[in-house]
Amino acid sequence: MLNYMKSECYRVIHGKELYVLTGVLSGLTVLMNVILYLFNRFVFDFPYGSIRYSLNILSSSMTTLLLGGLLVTSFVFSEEHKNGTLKNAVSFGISRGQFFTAKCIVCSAASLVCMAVVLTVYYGSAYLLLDDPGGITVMVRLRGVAANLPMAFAAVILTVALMCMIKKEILMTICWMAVIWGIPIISFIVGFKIEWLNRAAQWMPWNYLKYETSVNMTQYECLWDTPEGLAKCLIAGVIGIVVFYVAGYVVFRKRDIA
Amino acid sequence: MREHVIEARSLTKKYGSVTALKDVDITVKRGDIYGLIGDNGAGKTTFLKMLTGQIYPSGGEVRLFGAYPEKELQKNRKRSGAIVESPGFYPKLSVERNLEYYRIQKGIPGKGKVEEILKGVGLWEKRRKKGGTLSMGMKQRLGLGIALLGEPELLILDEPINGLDPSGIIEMRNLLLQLNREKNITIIISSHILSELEQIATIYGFLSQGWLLNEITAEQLHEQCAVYLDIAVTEPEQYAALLEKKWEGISYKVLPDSSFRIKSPEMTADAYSLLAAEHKIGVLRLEQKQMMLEEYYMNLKERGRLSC
Repeated sequence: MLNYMKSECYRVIHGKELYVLTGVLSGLTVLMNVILYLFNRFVFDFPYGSIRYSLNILSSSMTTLLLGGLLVTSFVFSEEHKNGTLKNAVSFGISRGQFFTAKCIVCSAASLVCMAVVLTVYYGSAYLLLDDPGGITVMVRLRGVAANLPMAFAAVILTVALMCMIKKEILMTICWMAVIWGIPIISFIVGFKIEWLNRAAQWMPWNYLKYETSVNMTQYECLWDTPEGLAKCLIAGVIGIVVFYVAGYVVFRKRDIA
Repeated sequence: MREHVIEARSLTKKYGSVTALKDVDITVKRGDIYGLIGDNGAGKTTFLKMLTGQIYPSGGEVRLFGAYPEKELQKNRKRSGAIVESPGFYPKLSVERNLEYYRIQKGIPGKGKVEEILKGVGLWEKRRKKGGTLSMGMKQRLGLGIALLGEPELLILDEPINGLDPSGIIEMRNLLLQLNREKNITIIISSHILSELEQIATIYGFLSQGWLLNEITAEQLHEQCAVYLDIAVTEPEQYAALLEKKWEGISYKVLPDSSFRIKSPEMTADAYSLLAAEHKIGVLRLEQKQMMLEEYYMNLKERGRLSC
Protein backbone atom coordinates (compact mmCIF):
# COMPACT_ATOMS: atom_id res chain seq x y z
CA MET A 1 0.00 0.00 0.00
CA LEU A 2 2.92 2.28 0.75
CA ASN A 3 4.15 1.96 -2.83
CA TYR A 4 0.68 2.72 -4.12
CA MET A 5 0.52 5.84 -1.94
CA LYS A 6 3.95 6.91 -3.19
CA SER A 7 2.84 6.49 -6.78
CA GLU A 8 -0.31 8.49 -6.09
CA CYS A 9 1.77 11.29 -4.55
CA TYR A 10 3.98 11.20 -7.64
CA ARG A 11 0.90 11.53 -9.86
CA VAL A 12 -0.60 14.36 -7.85
CA ILE A 13 2.71 16.25 -7.77
CA HIS A 14 3.31 15.82 -11.50
CA GLY A 15 -0.28 16.47 -12.54
CA LYS A 16 -1.74 19.94 -12.96
CA GLU A 17 -5.11 19.35 -11.31
CA LEU A 18 -4.23 20.23 -7.73
CA TYR A 19 -2.19 23.28 -8.75
CA VAL A 20 -4.95 24.60 -10.98
CA LEU A 21 -7.65 24.08 -8.37
CA THR A 22 -5.56 25.62 -5.59
CA GLY A 23 -4.70 28.53 -7.86
CA VAL A 24 -8.32 29.15 -8.83
CA LEU A 25 -9.59 28.96 -5.24
CA SER A 26 -6.78 31.21 -3.99
CA GLY A 27 -7.41 33.60 -6.86
CA LEU A 28 -11.09 33.83 -5.93
CA THR A 29 -10.27 34.78 -2.34
CA VAL A 30 -7.80 37.43 -3.54
CA LEU A 31 -10.37 38.73 -6.02
CA MET A 32 -12.93 39.05 -3.24
CA ASN A 33 -10.48 40.96 -1.04
CA VAL A 34 -9.42 43.19 -3.96
CA ILE A 35 -13.08 44.06 -4.64
CA LEU A 36 -13.62 44.86 -0.97
CA TYR A 37 -10.44 46.94 -1.04
CA LEU A 38 -11.52 48.90 -4.12
CA PHE A 39 -14.96 49.60 -2.68
CA ASN A 40 -13.33 50.60 0.57
CA ARG A 41 -11.05 53.02 -1.30
CA PHE A 42 -13.60 54.57 -3.59
CA VAL A 43 -17.00 54.29 -1.89
CA PHE A 44 -17.57 56.68 0.98
CA ASP A 45 -18.50 55.04 4.27
CA PHE A 46 -18.26 51.51 2.82
CA PRO A 47 -18.85 49.28 5.88
CA TYR A 48 -17.40 46.02 4.58
CA GLY A 49 -13.82 46.94 3.81
CA SER A 50 -12.50 45.28 6.94
CA ILE A 51 -10.59 42.12 7.68
CA ARG A 52 -13.35 41.15 10.06
CA TYR A 53 -15.98 41.17 7.31
CA SER A 54 -13.80 39.30 4.84
CA LEU A 55 -12.82 36.55 7.25
CA ASN A 56 -16.33 36.28 8.70
CA ILE A 57 -17.43 34.90 5.34
CA LEU A 58 -15.55 31.65 5.99
CA SER A 59 -16.34 31.52 9.71
CA SER A 60 -20.05 31.84 9.02
CA SER A 61 -20.05 29.15 6.35
CA MET A 62 -17.73 26.39 7.43
CA THR A 63 -19.71 24.04 5.21
CA THR A 64 -17.37 25.42 2.53
CA LEU A 65 -14.72 23.10 3.95
CA LEU A 66 -16.95 20.11 3.20
CA LEU A 67 -17.56 21.32 -0.34
CA GLY A 68 -13.84 21.97 -0.67
CA GLY A 69 -13.21 18.33 0.26
CA LEU A 70 -15.60 17.20 -2.46
CA LEU A 71 -13.99 19.49 -5.02
CA VAL A 72 -10.35 18.59 -4.32
CA THR A 73 -11.07 14.86 -4.17
CA SER A 74 -13.00 14.98 -7.45
CA PHE A 75 -9.96 16.58 -9.09
CA VAL A 76 -7.36 14.35 -7.45
CA PHE A 77 -9.22 11.03 -7.79
CA SER A 78 -8.75 11.35 -11.55
CA GLU A 79 -11.45 9.26 -13.21
CA GLU A 80 -9.95 5.94 -12.17
CA HIS A 81 -12.84 3.99 -13.70
CA LYS A 82 -12.78 5.77 -17.04
CA ASN A 83 -8.99 5.68 -17.38
CA GLY A 84 -8.84 1.99 -16.53
CA THR A 85 -6.34 2.71 -13.79
CA LEU A 86 -8.48 1.22 -11.02
CA LYS A 87 -8.55 -2.13 -12.81
CA ASN A 88 -4.78 -1.82 -13.35
CA ALA A 89 -4.20 -1.36 -9.63
CA VAL A 90 -6.31 -4.41 -8.80
CA SER A 91 -4.72 -6.47 -11.58
CA PHE A 92 -1.28 -5.66 -10.21
CA GLY A 93 -2.17 -7.03 -6.79
CA ILE A 94 -3.42 -4.00 -4.88
CA SER A 95 -6.49 -5.01 -2.96
CA ARG A 96 -9.61 -2.91 -3.08
CA GLY A 97 -9.17 -2.17 0.62
CA GLN A 98 -5.62 -0.94 0.11
CA PHE A 99 -6.70 1.11 -2.89
CA PHE A 100 -9.52 2.72 -0.95
CA THR A 101 -7.42 3.42 2.14
CA ALA A 102 -4.55 4.86 0.12
CA LYS A 103 -6.90 7.07 -1.85
CA CYS A 104 -8.48 8.36 1.37
CA ILE A 105 -5.07 9.25 2.79
CA VAL A 106 -3.70 10.86 -0.38
CA CYS A 107 -6.88 12.82 -1.09
CA SER A 108 -7.04 14.01 2.53
CA ALA A 109 -3.41 15.13 2.37
CA ALA A 110 -3.99 16.89 -0.96
CA SER A 111 -7.09 18.61 0.44
CA LEU A 112 -5.13 19.72 3.51
CA VAL A 113 -2.33 21.19 1.40
CA CYS A 114 -4.84 22.92 -0.87
CA MET A 115 -6.72 24.33 2.12
CA ALA A 116 -3.50 25.54 3.79
CA VAL A 117 -2.45 27.43 0.66
CA VAL A 118 -5.90 28.91 0.04
CA LEU A 119 -6.27 30.00 3.68
CA THR A 120 -2.80 31.55 3.68
CA VAL A 121 -3.58 33.52 0.54
CA TYR A 122 -7.06 34.39 1.82
CA TYR A 123 -5.93 35.61 5.24
CA GLY A 124 -2.76 37.17 3.84
CA SER A 125 -4.54 39.18 1.16
CA ALA A 126 -7.17 40.29 3.70
CA TYR A 127 -4.48 41.57 6.08
CA LEU A 128 -2.60 43.23 3.24
CA LEU A 129 -5.53 44.99 1.63
CA LEU A 130 -8.21 45.62 4.22
CA ASP A 131 -8.64 47.71 7.36
CA ASP A 132 -7.99 46.10 10.72
CA PRO A 133 -10.30 47.54 13.34
CA GLY A 134 -9.29 44.75 15.75
CA GLY A 135 -11.51 42.02 17.08
CA ILE A 136 -11.27 38.34 16.32
CA THR A 137 -7.67 37.17 15.97
CA VAL A 138 -6.37 34.84 13.29
CA MET A 139 -5.72 32.20 15.93
CA VAL A 140 -9.38 32.17 16.95
CA ARG A 141 -10.45 31.80 13.35
CA LEU A 142 -7.91 29.06 12.69
CA ARG A 143 -9.22 27.21 15.73
CA GLY A 144 -12.60 27.17 14.01
CA VAL A 145 -11.03 25.67 10.89
CA ALA A 146 -9.18 23.09 13.01
CA ALA A 147 -12.38 22.14 14.83
CA ASN A 148 -14.06 21.37 11.55
CA LEU A 149 -11.14 19.60 9.92
CA PRO A 150 -12.25 16.09 10.98
CA MET A 151 -15.59 16.65 9.26
CA ALA A 152 -13.79 17.96 6.18
CA PHE A 153 -11.75 14.74 6.12
CA ALA A 154 -14.97 12.77 6.52
CA ALA A 155 -16.32 14.61 3.46
CA VAL A 156 -13.19 13.62 1.56
CA ILE A 157 -13.57 9.96 2.58
CA LEU A 158 -17.22 10.00 1.58
CA THR A 159 -16.24 11.38 -1.83
CA VAL A 160 -13.57 8.69 -2.27
CA ALA A 161 -16.03 5.96 -1.25
CA LEU A 162 -18.64 7.19 -3.71
CA MET A 163 -16.11 7.65 -6.50
CA CYS A 164 -14.90 4.08 -6.02
CA MET A 165 -18.42 2.82 -6.55
CA ILE A 166 -20.06 5.26 -8.94
CA LYS A 167 -18.59 5.93 -12.36
CA LYS A 168 -20.57 9.02 -13.25
CA GLU A 169 -19.40 12.13 -11.46
CA ILE A 170 -22.79 13.83 -11.60
CA LEU A 171 -24.47 10.85 -9.94
CA MET A 172 -21.66 10.70 -7.39
CA THR A 173 -22.13 14.40 -6.57
CA ILE A 174 -25.89 13.92 -6.18
CA CYS A 175 -25.30 11.05 -3.75
CA TRP A 176 -22.73 13.12 -1.87
CA MET A 177 -25.15 16.02 -1.57
CA ALA A 178 -27.86 13.63 -0.40
CA VAL A 179 -25.66 12.40 2.44
CA ILE A 180 -24.08 15.70 3.45
CA TRP A 181 -27.02 18.02 2.85
CA GLY A 182 -30.21 16.09 2.09
CA ILE A 183 -30.29 13.73 5.05
CA PRO A 184 -29.45 16.46 7.62
CA ILE A 185 -32.12 18.81 6.23
CA ILE A 186 -34.77 16.09 6.18
CA SER A 187 -33.76 14.92 9.66
CA PHE A 188 -33.95 18.50 10.88
CA ILE A 189 -37.46 19.01 9.51
CA VAL A 190 -38.82 15.60 10.53
CA GLY A 191 -37.05 16.08 13.85
CA PHE A 192 -39.74 18.56 14.84
CA LYS A 193 -42.09 15.59 15.06
CA ILE A 194 -39.73 12.82 16.11
CA GLU A 195 -37.60 13.56 19.12
CA TRP A 196 -34.78 11.03 18.57
CA LEU A 197 -34.35 12.23 15.00
CA ASN A 198 -34.14 15.78 16.27
CA ARG A 199 -31.28 14.79 18.58
CA ALA A 200 -29.51 12.99 15.73
CA ALA A 201 -30.03 15.97 13.40
CA GLN A 202 -28.24 18.24 15.88
CA TRP A 203 -25.10 16.12 15.43
CA MET A 204 -25.11 16.39 11.68
CA PRO A 205 -22.50 18.90 10.52
CA TRP A 206 -24.63 20.64 7.93
CA ASN A 207 -27.16 21.45 10.67
CA TYR A 208 -24.87 22.53 13.49
CA LEU A 209 -22.67 24.57 11.14
CA LYS A 210 -25.75 26.39 9.86
CA TYR A 211 -27.86 26.77 12.97
CA GLU A 212 -25.39 26.87 15.85
CA THR A 213 -23.11 29.53 14.42
CA SER A 214 -23.90 33.21 14.27
CA VAL A 215 -21.24 35.36 12.68
CA ASN A 216 -21.81 38.85 11.32
CA MET A 217 -20.48 42.38 11.68
CA THR A 218 -21.70 42.73 15.23
CA GLN A 219 -21.71 39.19 16.49
CA TYR A 220 -19.23 36.30 16.59
CA GLU A 221 -20.74 33.26 18.26
CA CYS A 222 -19.39 29.98 17.05
CA LEU A 223 -20.18 26.54 18.32
CA TRP A 224 -16.50 25.58 18.55
CA ASP A 225 -15.66 28.48 20.86
CA THR A 226 -17.09 26.58 23.83
CA PRO A 227 -15.48 23.35 25.06
CA GLU A 228 -18.75 21.43 24.56
CA GLY A 229 -19.17 22.83 21.06
CA LEU A 230 -15.57 22.07 20.16
CA ALA A 231 -16.02 18.50 21.42
CA LYS A 232 -19.21 18.18 19.38
CA CYS A 233 -17.43 19.26 16.18
CA LEU A 234 -14.52 16.90 16.79
CA ILE A 235 -16.68 13.92 17.80
CA ALA A 236 -19.10 14.38 14.88
CA GLY A 237 -16.11 14.63 12.53
CA VAL A 238 -14.48 11.49 13.88
CA ILE A 239 -17.79 9.61 13.70
CA GLY A 240 -18.11 10.77 10.09
CA ILE A 241 -14.60 9.53 9.27
CA VAL A 242 -15.24 6.12 10.86
CA VAL A 243 -18.72 5.64 9.36
CA PHE A 244 -17.79 6.70 5.84
CA TYR A 245 -14.52 4.77 5.90
CA VAL A 246 -16.04 1.53 7.19
CA ALA A 247 -19.05 1.78 4.86
CA GLY A 248 -16.82 2.54 1.87
CA TYR A 249 -14.35 -0.22 2.73
CA VAL A 250 -16.99 -2.90 3.30
CA VAL A 251 -19.03 -2.11 0.20
CA PHE A 252 -16.10 -1.57 -2.16
CA ARG A 253 -14.24 -4.70 -0.98
CA LYS A 254 -16.88 -6.98 -2.47
CA ARG A 255 -17.65 -4.98 -5.54
CA ASP A 256 -16.88 -6.00 -9.12
CA ILE A 257 -15.01 -3.49 -11.20
CA ALA A 258 -16.98 -3.43 -14.41
CA MET B 1 6.17 -31.51 -14.73
CA ARG B 2 5.67 -27.84 -15.49
CA GLU B 3 4.13 -25.63 -12.82
CA HIS B 4 0.48 -24.69 -13.23
CA VAL B 5 0.43 -20.92 -13.56
CA ILE B 6 -3.34 -20.62 -14.02
CA GLU B 7 -5.87 -23.13 -12.82
CA ALA B 8 -9.57 -22.44 -13.18
CA ARG B 9 -11.94 -25.03 -11.79
CA SER B 10 -15.68 -24.92 -12.47
CA LEU B 11 -15.37 -21.19 -12.83
CA THR B 12 -18.77 -19.55 -13.14
CA LYS B 13 -19.86 -15.94 -13.38
CA LYS B 14 -23.43 -14.75 -13.25
CA TYR B 15 -24.72 -11.24 -13.82
CA GLY B 16 -28.22 -11.37 -12.42
CA SER B 17 -30.02 -14.00 -14.45
CA VAL B 18 -27.39 -14.02 -17.19
CA THR B 19 -24.60 -16.57 -16.89
CA ALA B 20 -21.52 -15.21 -18.60
CA LEU B 21 -19.26 -18.14 -17.78
CA LYS B 22 -20.32 -21.69 -16.96
CA ASP B 23 -18.16 -24.28 -15.19
CA VAL B 24 -15.00 -23.42 -17.05
CA ASP B 25 -11.90 -25.52 -16.38
CA ILE B 26 -8.70 -24.13 -17.81
CA THR B 27 -5.11 -24.95 -16.92
CA VAL B 28 -2.19 -22.95 -18.22
CA LYS B 29 1.29 -24.28 -17.55
CA ARG B 30 4.49 -22.32 -17.22
CA GLY B 31 5.83 -21.30 -20.60
CA ASP B 32 2.53 -21.78 -22.42
CA ILE B 33 1.04 -19.20 -24.74
CA TYR B 34 -2.66 -19.84 -24.27
CA GLY B 35 -4.90 -18.46 -27.01
CA LEU B 36 -8.44 -17.81 -25.87
CA ILE B 37 -10.84 -17.86 -28.79
CA GLY B 38 -14.51 -17.02 -28.97
CA ASP B 39 -17.08 -14.65 -30.40
CA ASN B 40 -18.15 -11.46 -28.69
CA GLY B 41 -19.98 -12.36 -25.50
CA ALA B 42 -18.37 -15.81 -25.36
CA GLY B 43 -16.91 -15.05 -21.94
CA LYS B 44 -13.26 -14.37 -22.81
CA THR B 45 -13.05 -10.99 -21.13
CA THR B 46 -15.10 -12.22 -18.18
CA PHE B 47 -12.58 -15.02 -17.67
CA LEU B 48 -9.61 -12.66 -17.92
CA LYS B 49 -11.28 -10.20 -15.55
CA MET B 50 -11.62 -12.96 -12.97
CA LEU B 51 -7.96 -13.82 -13.38
CA THR B 52 -6.99 -10.23 -12.73
CA GLY B 53 -9.36 -9.88 -9.78
CA GLN B 54 -11.54 -7.21 -11.35
CA ILE B 55 -14.60 -9.36 -10.86
CA TYR B 56 -15.30 -12.13 -8.40
CA PRO B 57 -16.46 -15.58 -9.47
CA SER B 58 -20.03 -16.61 -8.67
CA GLY B 59 -18.82 -20.18 -8.37
CA GLY B 60 -15.71 -22.30 -8.72
CA GLU B 61 -12.20 -21.15 -8.08
CA VAL B 62 -9.21 -19.68 -9.81
CA ARG B 63 -5.60 -20.25 -8.76
CA LEU B 64 -2.56 -18.26 -9.81
CA PHE B 65 0.79 -19.95 -9.27
CA GLY B 66 -1.07 -22.43 -7.08
CA ALA B 67 -2.49 -19.80 -4.71
CA TYR B 68 -6.19 -19.85 -4.02
CA PRO B 69 -7.62 -17.73 -1.21
CA GLU B 70 -8.19 -14.16 -2.37
CA LYS B 71 -5.39 -12.79 -0.17
CA GLU B 72 -2.86 -15.20 -1.64
CA LEU B 73 -4.19 -14.55 -5.13
CA GLN B 74 -3.62 -10.86 -4.62
CA LYS B 75 0.00 -11.44 -3.66
CA ASN B 76 0.56 -13.56 -6.72
CA ARG B 77 -1.07 -11.02 -9.01
CA LYS B 78 2.04 -8.92 -8.40
CA ARG B 79 3.81 -11.56 -10.51
CA SER B 80 1.60 -10.80 -13.49
CA GLY B 81 0.99 -8.00 -15.95
CA ALA B 82 -2.31 -7.40 -17.68
CA ILE B 83 -4.23 -5.50 -20.31
CA VAL B 84 -7.92 -6.27 -20.10
CA GLU B 85 -10.41 -4.60 -22.46
CA SER B 86 -8.40 -1.41 -22.98
CA PRO B 87 -5.00 -0.25 -21.75
CA GLY B 88 -5.26 1.71 -18.50
CA PHE B 89 -3.15 4.81 -17.92
CA TYR B 90 -3.48 8.47 -16.93
CA PRO B 91 -4.21 10.47 -20.10
CA LYS B 92 -2.94 13.75 -18.68
CA LEU B 93 0.45 12.36 -17.69
CA SER B 94 3.18 11.87 -20.27
CA VAL B 95 4.05 8.37 -21.46
CA GLU B 96 7.26 8.43 -19.41
CA ARG B 97 5.49 9.64 -16.27
CA ASN B 98 2.83 6.99 -16.65
CA LEU B 99 5.53 4.34 -16.62
CA GLU B 100 7.33 6.05 -13.76
CA TYR B 101 4.04 6.08 -11.82
CA TYR B 102 3.68 2.33 -12.25
CA ARG B 103 7.38 1.74 -11.54
CA ILE B 104 6.88 3.39 -8.16
CA GLN B 105 3.60 1.53 -7.59
CA LYS B 106 5.23 -1.82 -8.27
CA GLY B 107 8.21 -0.94 -6.12
CA ILE B 108 10.75 -1.46 -8.90
CA PRO B 109 14.13 0.08 -8.07
CA GLY B 110 16.04 2.15 -10.64
CA LYS B 111 14.65 4.62 -13.13
CA GLY B 112 16.57 2.88 -15.91
CA LYS B 113 13.80 0.31 -16.12
CA VAL B 114 11.41 2.90 -17.54
CA GLU B 115 13.84 3.73 -20.35
CA GLU B 116 14.37 0.05 -21.07
CA ILE B 117 10.61 -0.57 -21.31
CA LEU B 118 10.04 2.54 -23.43
CA LYS B 119 12.63 1.35 -25.91
CA GLY B 120 11.34 -2.21 -25.77
CA VAL B 121 7.79 -1.27 -26.75
CA GLY B 122 8.86 1.40 -29.23
CA LEU B 123 7.68 4.44 -27.33
CA TRP B 124 11.01 6.11 -26.60
CA GLU B 125 10.42 8.83 -29.21
CA LYS B 126 6.95 9.50 -27.83
CA ARG B 127 7.94 9.51 -24.17
CA ARG B 128 7.08 13.16 -23.62
CA LYS B 129 3.65 12.94 -25.27
CA LYS B 130 0.63 12.82 -23.04
CA GLY B 131 -1.01 9.41 -22.82
CA GLY B 132 -4.36 10.78 -23.96
CA THR B 133 -2.93 12.14 -27.22
CA LEU B 134 -1.53 8.80 -28.41
CA SER B 135 -3.03 6.79 -31.25
CA MET B 136 -4.83 3.55 -30.39
CA GLY B 137 -1.82 1.49 -31.39
CA MET B 138 0.50 3.59 -29.24
CA LYS B 139 -1.92 3.29 -26.33
CA GLN B 140 -1.74 -0.50 -26.69
CA ARG B 141 2.05 -0.28 -26.58
CA LEU B 142 1.88 1.88 -23.47
CA GLY B 143 -0.49 -0.62 -21.88
CA LEU B 144 1.91 -3.43 -22.72
CA GLY B 145 4.83 -1.41 -21.35
CA ILE B 146 2.97 -0.93 -18.06
CA ALA B 147 2.14 -4.65 -17.95
CA LEU B 148 5.78 -5.55 -18.57
CA LEU B 149 7.12 -3.42 -15.72
CA GLY B 150 8.34 -5.60 -12.91
CA GLU B 151 9.30 -8.53 -15.12
CA PRO B 152 6.03 -10.42 -14.84
CA GLU B 153 5.99 -14.22 -15.01
CA LEU B 154 2.48 -14.14 -16.47
CA LEU B 155 0.98 -11.82 -19.06
CA ILE B 156 -2.80 -11.55 -19.34
CA LEU B 157 -3.68 -9.85 -22.61
CA ASP B 158 -7.16 -9.15 -23.90
CA GLU B 159 -7.15 -8.22 -27.58
CA PRO B 160 -3.67 -6.66 -27.39
CA ILE B 161 -3.35 -6.08 -31.13
CA ASN B 162 -6.55 -4.07 -31.40
CA GLY B 163 -5.82 -0.84 -33.22
CA LEU B 164 -2.27 -1.77 -34.16
CA ASP B 165 -1.08 -1.19 -37.72
CA PRO B 166 0.42 -4.12 -39.66
CA SER B 167 3.97 -3.38 -38.55
CA GLY B 168 2.73 -2.90 -34.99
CA ILE B 169 1.08 -6.34 -35.12
CA ILE B 170 4.29 -7.94 -36.32
CA GLU B 171 6.33 -6.14 -33.64
CA MET B 172 3.85 -7.15 -30.94
CA ARG B 173 3.90 -10.76 -32.10
CA ASN B 174 7.69 -10.85 -32.14
CA LEU B 175 7.88 -9.18 -28.75
CA LEU B 176 5.50 -11.69 -27.18
CA LEU B 177 7.36 -14.62 -28.74
CA GLN B 178 10.66 -13.16 -27.55
CA LEU B 179 9.35 -12.70 -24.01
CA ASN B 180 8.03 -16.24 -23.99
CA ARG B 181 11.20 -17.80 -25.35
CA GLU B 182 13.83 -15.74 -23.60
CA LYS B 183 12.19 -15.09 -20.26
CA ASN B 184 9.82 -18.05 -20.18
CA ILE B 185 6.89 -15.70 -19.57
CA THR B 186 3.56 -17.49 -19.63
CA ILE B 187 0.98 -15.67 -21.73
CA ILE B 188 -2.77 -15.94 -21.92
CA ILE B 189 -4.09 -13.96 -24.83
CA SER B 190 -7.48 -13.43 -26.39
CA SER B 191 -7.87 -12.19 -29.92
CA HIS B 192 -10.36 -12.09 -32.74
CA ILE B 193 -7.55 -12.31 -35.24
CA LEU B 194 -7.10 -16.06 -35.38
CA SER B 195 -4.29 -15.97 -37.91
CA GLU B 196 -2.27 -13.98 -35.40
CA LEU B 197 -3.04 -16.34 -32.54
CA GLU B 198 -2.10 -19.24 -34.75
CA GLN B 199 1.38 -17.84 -35.10
CA ILE B 200 2.11 -17.61 -31.41
CA ALA B 201 -0.18 -19.80 -29.31
CA THR B 202 0.96 -23.18 -28.06
CA ILE B 203 -2.48 -24.12 -26.76
CA TYR B 204 -5.97 -22.94 -27.60
CA GLY B 205 -9.17 -22.71 -25.59
CA PHE B 206 -12.47 -22.23 -27.41
CA LEU B 207 -15.24 -20.46 -25.56
CA SER B 208 -18.81 -20.16 -26.72
CA GLN B 209 -21.68 -18.63 -24.78
CA GLY B 210 -19.80 -19.08 -21.55
CA TRP B 211 -18.83 -22.72 -22.12
CA LEU B 212 -15.36 -23.98 -22.80
CA LEU B 213 -16.01 -26.06 -25.92
CA ASN B 214 -12.58 -27.49 -26.30
CA GLU B 215 -8.92 -27.15 -25.48
CA ILE B 216 -6.27 -28.24 -27.91
CA THR B 217 -2.53 -27.83 -28.21
CA ALA B 218 -0.99 -26.44 -31.38
CA GLU B 219 0.54 -29.87 -32.06
CA GLN B 220 -2.80 -31.63 -31.65
CA LEU B 221 -4.37 -29.09 -33.95
CA HIS B 222 -1.80 -29.93 -36.62
CA GLU B 223 -2.28 -33.64 -36.14
CA GLN B 224 -6.06 -33.57 -36.04
CA CYS B 225 -6.78 -31.12 -38.77
CA ALA B 226 -7.29 -32.74 -42.09
CA VAL B 227 -5.38 -32.09 -45.26
CA TYR B 228 -7.64 -31.17 -48.19
CA LEU B 229 -7.29 -30.49 -51.83
CA ASP B 230 -8.95 -27.64 -53.67
CA ILE B 231 -9.32 -28.21 -57.40
CA ALA B 232 -11.05 -25.98 -59.96
CA VAL B 233 -11.75 -27.41 -63.39
CA THR B 234 -13.35 -26.26 -66.64
CA GLU B 235 -16.13 -28.91 -66.58
CA PRO B 236 -17.24 -29.31 -62.97
CA GLU B 237 -20.25 -31.53 -63.58
CA GLN B 238 -18.33 -34.00 -65.71
CA TYR B 239 -15.44 -34.00 -63.26
CA ALA B 240 -17.78 -34.73 -60.34
CA ALA B 241 -19.11 -37.78 -62.12
CA LEU B 242 -15.57 -38.92 -62.88
CA LEU B 243 -14.49 -38.50 -59.28
CA GLU B 244 -17.36 -40.62 -57.99
CA LYS B 245 -16.78 -43.28 -60.60
CA LYS B 246 -13.05 -43.52 -60.06
CA TRP B 247 -12.96 -43.33 -56.26
CA GLU B 248 -16.20 -44.68 -54.86
CA GLY B 249 -17.22 -43.10 -51.58
CA ILE B 250 -14.92 -40.11 -52.06
CA SER B 251 -15.72 -37.24 -49.69
CA TYR B 252 -15.82 -33.88 -51.42
CA LYS B 253 -17.69 -30.60 -51.30
CA VAL B 254 -18.53 -28.25 -54.17
CA LEU B 255 -17.57 -24.72 -53.19
CA PRO B 256 -19.53 -21.61 -54.29
CA ASP B 257 -17.09 -20.98 -57.16
CA SER B 258 -17.82 -24.51 -58.46
CA SER B 259 -14.43 -25.79 -57.42
CA PHE B 260 -14.08 -29.02 -55.45
CA ARG B 261 -12.78 -29.47 -51.93
CA ILE B 262 -11.66 -33.04 -51.47
CA LYS B 263 -11.24 -33.94 -47.83
CA SER B 264 -8.35 -36.19 -46.77
CA PRO B 265 -7.45 -37.13 -50.35
CA GLU B 266 -6.25 -40.68 -50.65
CA MET B 267 -4.20 -39.97 -53.73
CA THR B 268 -1.59 -37.35 -54.47
CA ALA B 269 -2.62 -34.12 -56.16
CA ASP B 270 -1.17 -35.41 -59.43
CA ALA B 271 -3.75 -38.21 -59.58
CA TYR B 272 -6.63 -35.76 -59.47
CA SER B 273 -4.96 -33.61 -62.10
CA LEU B 274 -4.31 -36.62 -64.28
CA LEU B 275 -7.94 -37.71 -64.05
CA ALA B 276 -8.99 -34.36 -65.47
CA ALA B 277 -6.35 -34.41 -68.18
CA GLU B 278 -7.31 -37.92 -69.32
CA HIS B 279 -10.82 -36.65 -70.04
CA LYS B 280 -9.67 -33.40 -71.58
CA ILE B 281 -10.89 -31.30 -68.72
CA GLY B 282 -8.78 -28.27 -67.99
CA VAL B 283 -7.41 -27.76 -64.48
CA LEU B 284 -7.71 -24.10 -63.49
CA ARG B 285 -6.39 -24.38 -59.95
CA LEU B 286 -5.02 -27.12 -57.76
CA GLU B 287 -4.01 -26.50 -54.14
CA GLN B 288 -3.28 -28.81 -51.27
CA LYS B 289 -4.05 -27.24 -47.88
CA GLN B 290 -4.30 -28.18 -44.25
CA MET B 291 -7.32 -27.10 -42.24
CA MET B 292 -6.01 -24.75 -39.62
CA LEU B 293 -7.26 -22.70 -36.71
CA GLU B 294 -9.79 -20.64 -38.61
CA GLU B 295 -11.48 -23.63 -40.20
CA TYR B 296 -11.21 -25.57 -36.96
CA TYR B 297 -12.96 -22.76 -35.14
CA MET B 298 -15.68 -22.48 -37.79
CA ASN B 299 -16.24 -26.22 -37.61
CA LEU B 300 -16.44 -26.01 -33.86
CA LYS B 301 -18.98 -23.24 -34.06
CA GLU B 302 -21.07 -25.05 -36.64
CA ARG B 303 -21.16 -28.37 -34.88
CA GLY B 304 -21.15 -27.21 -31.32
CA ARG B 305 -18.10 -29.29 -30.59
CA LEU B 306 -14.90 -30.12 -32.34
CA SER B 307 -14.53 -32.58 -35.14
CA CYS B 308 -12.17 -31.71 -37.89
